Amino acid sequence: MSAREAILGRLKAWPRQEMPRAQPSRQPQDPLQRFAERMTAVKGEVAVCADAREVPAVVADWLREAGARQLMTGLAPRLDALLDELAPSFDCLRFGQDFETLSDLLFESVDAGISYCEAGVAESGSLVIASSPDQPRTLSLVPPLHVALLPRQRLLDDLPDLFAEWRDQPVPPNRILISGPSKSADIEQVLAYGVHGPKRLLAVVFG
Amino acid sequence: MSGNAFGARIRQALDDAALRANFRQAMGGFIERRAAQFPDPEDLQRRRDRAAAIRADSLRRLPQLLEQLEAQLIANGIRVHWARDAAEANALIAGLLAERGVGKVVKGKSMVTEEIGLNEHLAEQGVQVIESDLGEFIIQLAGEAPSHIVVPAVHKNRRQIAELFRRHIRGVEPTEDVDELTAIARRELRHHFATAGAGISGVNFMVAENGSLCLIENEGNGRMTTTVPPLHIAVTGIEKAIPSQADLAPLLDLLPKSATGQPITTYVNLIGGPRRDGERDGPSEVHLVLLDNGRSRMQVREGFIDSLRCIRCGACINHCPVFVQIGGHAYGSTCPGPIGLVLEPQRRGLEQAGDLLSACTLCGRCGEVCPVEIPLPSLIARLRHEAVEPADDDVAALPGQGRLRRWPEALLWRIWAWINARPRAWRMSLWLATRLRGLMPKRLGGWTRYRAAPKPAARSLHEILARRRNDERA
Repeated sequence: MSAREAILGRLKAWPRQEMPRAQPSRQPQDPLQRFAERMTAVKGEVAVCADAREVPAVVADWLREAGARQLMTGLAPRLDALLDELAPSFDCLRFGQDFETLSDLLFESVDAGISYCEAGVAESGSLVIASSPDQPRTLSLVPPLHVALLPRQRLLDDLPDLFAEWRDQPVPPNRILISGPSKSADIEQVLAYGVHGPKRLLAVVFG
Repeated sequence: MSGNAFGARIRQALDDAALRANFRQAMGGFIERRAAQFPDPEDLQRRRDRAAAIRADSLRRLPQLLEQLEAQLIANGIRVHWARDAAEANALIAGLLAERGVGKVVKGKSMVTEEIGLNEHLAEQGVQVIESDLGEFIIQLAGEAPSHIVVPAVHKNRRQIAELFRRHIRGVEPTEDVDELTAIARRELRHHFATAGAGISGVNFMVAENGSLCLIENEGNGRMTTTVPPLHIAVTGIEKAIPSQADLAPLLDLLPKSATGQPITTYVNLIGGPRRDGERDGPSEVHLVLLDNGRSRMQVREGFIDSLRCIRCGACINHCPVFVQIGGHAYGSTCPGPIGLVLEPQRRGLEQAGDLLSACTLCGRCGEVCPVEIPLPSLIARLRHEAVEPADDDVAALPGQGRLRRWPEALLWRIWAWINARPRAWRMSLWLATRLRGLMPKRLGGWTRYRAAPKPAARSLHEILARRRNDERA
C-alpha cells in the first residue's frame, strides 16, 4: 500500500458529526481612514492623491527623500506614464528579462521596486498584489524600498470581502498581502525593520 | 526520555538566572499585547467559536478535503507527495534535492521540519542548510533547537547574539544595537537567498477548493525562500487543510493576534503554483510534502482529534506559568508548553514523553486563550490518567499506557477512595488525623524543600460546627 492510500484509509475511518458556524461581526468606519490608520501603525507610509496626475510628483519626492537612485517596475503599460515623469530624475529600469538574469542587479543595485495593487484591505491595512508576466513578485520583496499604487475604488472593507471577490476566479501563481515594511522582533522583542524585505514602504492611494 | 532526564533539564533551566530573566521579560510582553487586541470578551468568544468550528469541520472532512486539495494542487502545477513518517519525508526531500544536484538550501521557519529532523538528515547527505528566519538563524549559529515555536531565539539576549555573530560571521564589528545586528543578518542571508538551489518552507493553511498554500510571516524570509530559488519544497502536516478561501479570514484574524498581538502579519503569502509561461520570476518547480507522522491515529481515542485543530500560534505557551519558568529547551520536544504536553505523548507514546505531563499545574489558562478552543487542560488530565492506569481492553491505548504507575501511589489513592466512600471510616480518619497531628513529620521529601509542612487542624470542621450548634442551643 502506498503512503497516500495508508494515510487516507486511516482518515476515512474517522467518525463524523456536524457543528454550527457563527457569523463574524463588522465595525463601520471610513475605509480610507481605517486603511491609513492600520498601515501607519505598522510603520507603512501612506500618501493620498485625489487626482491621479499628482502621483508622479508624490512618488518622486518620497524616493528622493529616501535617497533612491535606481528603480524598477514591471512591464505593465499602466505604469508607462509614471515612468515617463520619473525618468529625468531616476535611473528607471523595467523587469523585462528573467529573474536569473536580473538577480545581481536586483539584490545589489536597485533601490526601489514599484508595483500596482489588485486591491487594498482597510480593516487589516493590507495591500494586495497578484503576480503576472508584467508584475514580477520580487519587485515588492528584494529592493530596500517599495512603492505600491492603489486605486481608491479598489479599497475593500475587510478580508472576508476580499476572499468573497476571489471566490470563482482562477488562482494566480502568487498573491501577496502586504501590511507594512519587513520586520522582526526576534532579538529581545525589539522591533527592527527591513530584515529581509523592504525597509520602507509607501502606499499611494489615488483617484 | 527518563523522568530523571526531564527533571535534570528543569533543574538546569531553573538555575540559569539569565535564561529565566529573558523568558519572563518576553512572555509578559506577549500576554499584554494579545490582551490589547481583544478588548471585548464577548466578541473574542464569537471569533474563537467561529475559528474552532472551521478547524473542527475541516478535520471531520479531512480525507475528502485532502483528495480535493491534491487534485487542485496538481491542476495548479504543484507536485504532491505523501509521507507516512519522518523517515519517508526526509528521504523524499533528500531525493528531490539529489535528483537536481542541489547542494545548498535556504529554509523558512517550519516546526514540521523540526519534528522530522530534516536539517540533520540533509546535513548527513552533504546538503548545506541555511535557516533564514532571524531567530532560527541565531540558534543555528549557536547549534541549538528553538525554545519557542513563534520566537525560536527568545532565550537569548542581545549580548549573547552579538557574541554569536562576532564569532561566526566574518568581518563583523562588535555591536549590541538591535538594528545593526539585524542588518548584519540581512547582509549575510541575502547572499544565500540568491545562490541557494532550493527553498524549503512550512505551510500555515492549505486551501482545498483552489489548491493554494498560505504562509504568513513578518520578515520576508519566507517569501525569499518560496520565490527566489528555482525549486520550492513545502512540508506540512495533513491537518493543515481547510475547505475554502473564505475560511482563511477568521483564522488569519486570530492567529497573529493570539501569537504576538499583531492585527495581521506583514506578509500573507498565497502560493498558487510555480512560475507560469511569460512570468519573469518565481520557482520553476513547487512541491508539497504531506506528512502524517502519527496524525491520522490521533482521533482513535475520542476527543484527541481536537488537538489537531492547533494553528501553532503559541498563545498557550506564552500563558503557561510552567513554561515561563523553565523555557522551551527543558521540554526536550519539538513543541513545548501545553500543546506540546498533549501532542508529544500522542506522537511518541507515554513511555517516551509521558514525563512531560508533570509540567502542568492544571491552572486552565491555556484552554482559555486557545483561539481554536482546544480543551488543553482536560486533554492533559486525560493523558495523565492514561499514564498511570492500565489500558481497558476495548479502548485503543497509547504506547506505554500505564507505564508511569507507581504502586505506593496507586495504593494510597485506592485507600483514600475507600475511606471517602464510607462515612464511618471517613469520620474515624478525620478524628485520627486531628488527634495525632503532632506526629506529622516536618520534612516531606520534595514537598517541604520549598514549603512548610502541612499540619492538620486541631478539630475537624464538622466537630467545630457541631460544638458551635450545641453552644447556641445551650
